[in-house]
Amino acid sequence: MHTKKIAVIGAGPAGLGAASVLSRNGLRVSVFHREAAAGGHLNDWAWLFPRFVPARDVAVSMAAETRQVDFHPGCHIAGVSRHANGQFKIVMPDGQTEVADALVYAGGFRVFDASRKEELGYGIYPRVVTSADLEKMLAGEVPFPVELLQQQALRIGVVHCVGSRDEKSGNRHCSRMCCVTGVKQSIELRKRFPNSRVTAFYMDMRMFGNGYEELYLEAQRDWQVLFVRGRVSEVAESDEGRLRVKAEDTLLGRPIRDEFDLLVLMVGMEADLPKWLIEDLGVKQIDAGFARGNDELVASNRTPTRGLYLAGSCKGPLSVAEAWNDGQAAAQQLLLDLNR
Amino acid sequence: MKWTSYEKEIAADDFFYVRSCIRQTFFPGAENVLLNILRERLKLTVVEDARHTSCTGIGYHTDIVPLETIMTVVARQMALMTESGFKNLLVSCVTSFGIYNEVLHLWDDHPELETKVREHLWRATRREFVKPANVAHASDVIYKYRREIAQMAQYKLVNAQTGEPLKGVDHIGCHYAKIFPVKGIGGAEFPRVLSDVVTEFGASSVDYPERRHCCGFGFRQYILKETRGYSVSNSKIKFESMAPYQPDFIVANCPGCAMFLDRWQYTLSEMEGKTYDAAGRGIPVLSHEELAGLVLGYDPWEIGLQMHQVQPESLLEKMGVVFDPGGKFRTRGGRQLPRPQEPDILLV
Repeated sequence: MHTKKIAVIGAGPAGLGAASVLSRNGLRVSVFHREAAAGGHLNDWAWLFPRFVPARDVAVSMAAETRQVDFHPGCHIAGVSRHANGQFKIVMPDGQTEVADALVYAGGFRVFDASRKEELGYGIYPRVVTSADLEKMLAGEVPFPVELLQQQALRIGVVHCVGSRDEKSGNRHCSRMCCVTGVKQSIELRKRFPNSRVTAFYMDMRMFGNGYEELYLEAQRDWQVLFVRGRVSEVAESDEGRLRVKAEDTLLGRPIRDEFDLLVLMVGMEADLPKWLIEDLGVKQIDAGFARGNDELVASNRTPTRGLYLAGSCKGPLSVAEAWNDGQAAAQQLLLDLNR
Repeated sequence: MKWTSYEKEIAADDFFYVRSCIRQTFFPGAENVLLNILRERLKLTVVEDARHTSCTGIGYHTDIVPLETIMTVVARQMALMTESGFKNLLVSCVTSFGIYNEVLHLWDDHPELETKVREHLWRATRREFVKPANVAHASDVIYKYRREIAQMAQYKLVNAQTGEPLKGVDHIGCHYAKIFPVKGIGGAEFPRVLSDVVTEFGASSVDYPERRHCCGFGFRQYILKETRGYSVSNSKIKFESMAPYQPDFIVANCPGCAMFLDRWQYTLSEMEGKTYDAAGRGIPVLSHEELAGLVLGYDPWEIGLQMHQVQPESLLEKMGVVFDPGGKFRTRGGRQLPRPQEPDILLV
């Protein structure tokens, strides 16, 4: 067993990726996670794109890759400071402290609060839901709005880029995963409600990953999902409780008014860095607020603070696979530095 | 008419602030300095809500936004104020100031409209509101605290070399007091909201003949390209009326007026080959908060005076303001921005 002790903050895909590499290399690893169960946002998702793998299974297999990890669930770190000897002092919510020789920060992201886009009616009309809400409905944890089940020919709208690529929300960045999530959820909705018609409003579809473009084609060809290029400007409720949507079809150059029974907002990812990471450990931020490593190309996991590494979507929106790999890469960097 | 009818009550503290679209776009430093003066120098409580929107006044005055819509937008701003727990509305823009007063007045005369708007607002946003106890324009608050600001001032509006008071001409936005004279200091006939500030800061205020004339913004006449010439013509009438008095600066409380009185000086210089000052540098145009910031000793580049078309150096030199000429186009991070192209006639 290596004598060095490593703290990993966050037990989403990136944190678990880091913990698996570090623990398998014989280091003493403590993982601090704010939720009760490891997995991060995987626990909020039903199935993953592009092949509809159950998200919980992925979380379980990732956790199974770790060895003899000291797991601290439900632990929202109050602060971290760095001693003159290079060690990190981690303060837990109850005031107890732990000391580590190195630290991997894998705190992840925050899902955009759709109520900030008040014009889209989230939090006002019960039939406006987010992509995160829909996952819970698809998983059977939360009921669909009851009347939906009774309707034969549902009209469902999917709105892309909610809180992403939107300067009004203060988010210029692209959250990358929402395009394919919208395609995946459109297909799932068509499967769940075979008589439904799904219309997706998009700016442009960014199908960058393996299998994404194929999924996009499948949605159009096999599930008749209609993709309309244009943003939704306003949502209101009709007397019958349906959702009146105003949008623009920018290909036809025409305004659109349409009615839907359900509207799904593809919410983006936002930076969610704790104060202590920036103020006490000196981590810099990119314009979008995410953490910035030393170099975006060859040293994105390293920071100017010796012994502190960044992993996963705390640096910007990543897919599950990318976050897992990035966590492992951060751990490899750490191992290389330890053995120097 | 009693003189008291030309006075108005201005709340002393605890403001909910609503911003101006034009000021934010063209003079972004002005609102920053206003908030800084109110919060840091006068120790007042001013809150704002990032969710507040345009009042849509420009759209309303150009017949794009219907009355029901703008009333509901106004109601939503008031709902945000109500949610914040504040009762005094502080308005940056004169157009918005007119809109808020117009809507409140409409509701007083037609309570059924208010009831309808409350229904619209609830249906669209699930919000409710209490009408403001006081509606003040930002220039009202500067007016109210002009003496306190003057006491803290680092500079006076006097010629630093001769000791003579500088000459200031004011322009009050039409929608400040011409729609509802009782809502403005001095009403529409005896505008004092800026001239009293100017004199308190050490300058003399010139009551030039066309002082009450529209600046030329006028919404439709500017926005419709076919009638844009009317806009320039109005400004020209103002400049020709004030020019014989050789003013050292113009102060305007309306974001649109400040913009047009500033920008049209360049337009007129290109059209007619002349400026309205002796030195060919134009007459600097400042807003009430920029003027207050300048006398309080704020860095002119922090206030954003370099964003003006007519550059402020002539005024700064007369006042004896110490400033860094090299900092004019330097960012806070120290990066030097390229210098804008200089016009031939309106000198920089």
